Amino acid sequence: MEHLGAYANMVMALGVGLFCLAAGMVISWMGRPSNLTPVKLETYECGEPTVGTDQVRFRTLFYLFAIVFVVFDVEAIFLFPVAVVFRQMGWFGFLEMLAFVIILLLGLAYAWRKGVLKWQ
Amino acid sequence: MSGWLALLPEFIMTAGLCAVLVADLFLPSERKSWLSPLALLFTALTLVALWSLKPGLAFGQAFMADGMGIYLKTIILLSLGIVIFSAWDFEKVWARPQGEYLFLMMSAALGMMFISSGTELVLLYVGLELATFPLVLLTAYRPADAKSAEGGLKYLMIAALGSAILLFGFSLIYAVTGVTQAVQLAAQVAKGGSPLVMAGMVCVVAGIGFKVALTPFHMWAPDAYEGAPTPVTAFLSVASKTAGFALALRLLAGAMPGLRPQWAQAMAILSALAMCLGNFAAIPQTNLKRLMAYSSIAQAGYIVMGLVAFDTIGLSSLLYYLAAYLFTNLGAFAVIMAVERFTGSSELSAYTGLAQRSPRLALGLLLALLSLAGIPPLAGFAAKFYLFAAAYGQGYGWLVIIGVLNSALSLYYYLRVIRVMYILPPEPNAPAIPKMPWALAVAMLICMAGILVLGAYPGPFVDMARAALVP
Repeated sequence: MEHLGAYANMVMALGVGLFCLAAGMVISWMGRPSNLTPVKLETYECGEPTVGTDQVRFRTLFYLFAIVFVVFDVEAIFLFPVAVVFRQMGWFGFLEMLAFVIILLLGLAYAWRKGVLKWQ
Repeated sequence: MSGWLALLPEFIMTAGLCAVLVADLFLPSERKSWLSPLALLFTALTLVALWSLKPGLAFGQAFMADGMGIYLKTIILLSLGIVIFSAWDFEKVWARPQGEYLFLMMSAALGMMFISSGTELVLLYVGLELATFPLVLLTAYRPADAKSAEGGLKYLMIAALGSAILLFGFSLIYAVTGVTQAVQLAAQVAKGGSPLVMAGMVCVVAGIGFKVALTPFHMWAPDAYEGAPTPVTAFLSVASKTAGFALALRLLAGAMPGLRPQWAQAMAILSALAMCLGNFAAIPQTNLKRLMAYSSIAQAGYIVMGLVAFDTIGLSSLLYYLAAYLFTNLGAFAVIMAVERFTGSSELSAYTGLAQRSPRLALGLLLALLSLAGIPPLAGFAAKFYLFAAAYGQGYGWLVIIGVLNSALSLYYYLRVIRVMYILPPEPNAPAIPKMPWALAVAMLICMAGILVLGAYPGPFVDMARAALVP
């Protein structure tokens, strides 16, 4: 039965987590003014006046472009720390990063060759 | 630097899948069938590298190329090779691009290789993701076919759920022990199971259940198996299951041996459920791929028994069963591929009178199904016998009784397929089955030889499995 005491920690952790979640929402609900004007209820689209409804279909090409973009975004993130410790890592680090970049370039070559980059 | 040598097979596989991708970009479309030999070449090179290596560690202690890892990787690579070989002209039969298919299959195999040797939670998880996502894509590889899309979506959803549960389990375990490496984790866990570690272990058991399709975590399997192109189904049923058991061996046997009484109990219950549900649900199936899906759920139930027994006999019979399962299931799927190639269907009705239309195909499926049912002297019998003996030896008599009853039950639906092939006369307008392509015939012969040899002379292979367990 003394094991149950240890499980109490788990229940408490769960309880505290739920409490924090609820408390944040309740406090912001109590503290915020409720002054709804028609302009505030409009859909927010980067400050631009909205066009049409939200029930539109996006071309999958957007998605493919986004994927290609993210690949190189992430590459840049990885290159920064490498640049910081480049001298300590020496040739080994250089070759390893080269392999990494070449694999990513292979991805770009693939997308290019398969015609993903053409907007058709 | 010596650590990098232990990773040589993985490097070769990585180079191989990059080579296939590049070759696919520059080969003219009428020469795409050259990609299969290229992929096979790299698979063979990986196997050679795997067998000629001395066991070693890499990435600190996160990657261990030990005997068990080499054994499991051999099974995964053999199944990759046999599937690529038997679906040589994938593009012609399933009308989807060959290059991406091979690339994704090899990526999945690479992920499975990392799982087989992973002794660290994060590496295991990354390996699992690398193994799962290509398989999801391959399951949904024919989006024009509604079943393929449905199977892919279900597989994606449930695999993601399983991964999330597994990851949650990892985070709980890490929160308490503060380590992620298997040996250190085993030492921490042995000090006494705190409730958080127990909760983490339950999540890990559930995550493994999703991966190897144990009831009640099996829901994705029938739809994914039915919807995926048949070579992918074959790969999914053998390699993915092997990787799932590799995950179980690395996590439960490797990192949490101290909690064995608890997880063995959970796994024994899952095993009993999977055997019963898999076999009962297989009975009314009219599609052979779906039937094989339920049969594979039941087979996973048998295999888990080895993990439940946990001694040397149990674990070595688990490894031996995986080898027997490799040849048996791939043999069955080779026949399903052949029939689908000529009749365009994997419904049971396409098999009516197969013994007269193509005696060799019928004989192949007969052998494979009898081996799955566990009839001596085939591989499935020896494998099942060792598993049951191991579970009985560890005091799981009730599980063995359920297993034996289920074995008898499974014979019913396997025999139903055999009856359709051998007793029923062929329909007059049934499509003709011409001579098999040689690659498929060779793949089938390899599987049949495996079924017979592993069944008739299990000794050397059991010794091999036992030797693989010695660290």
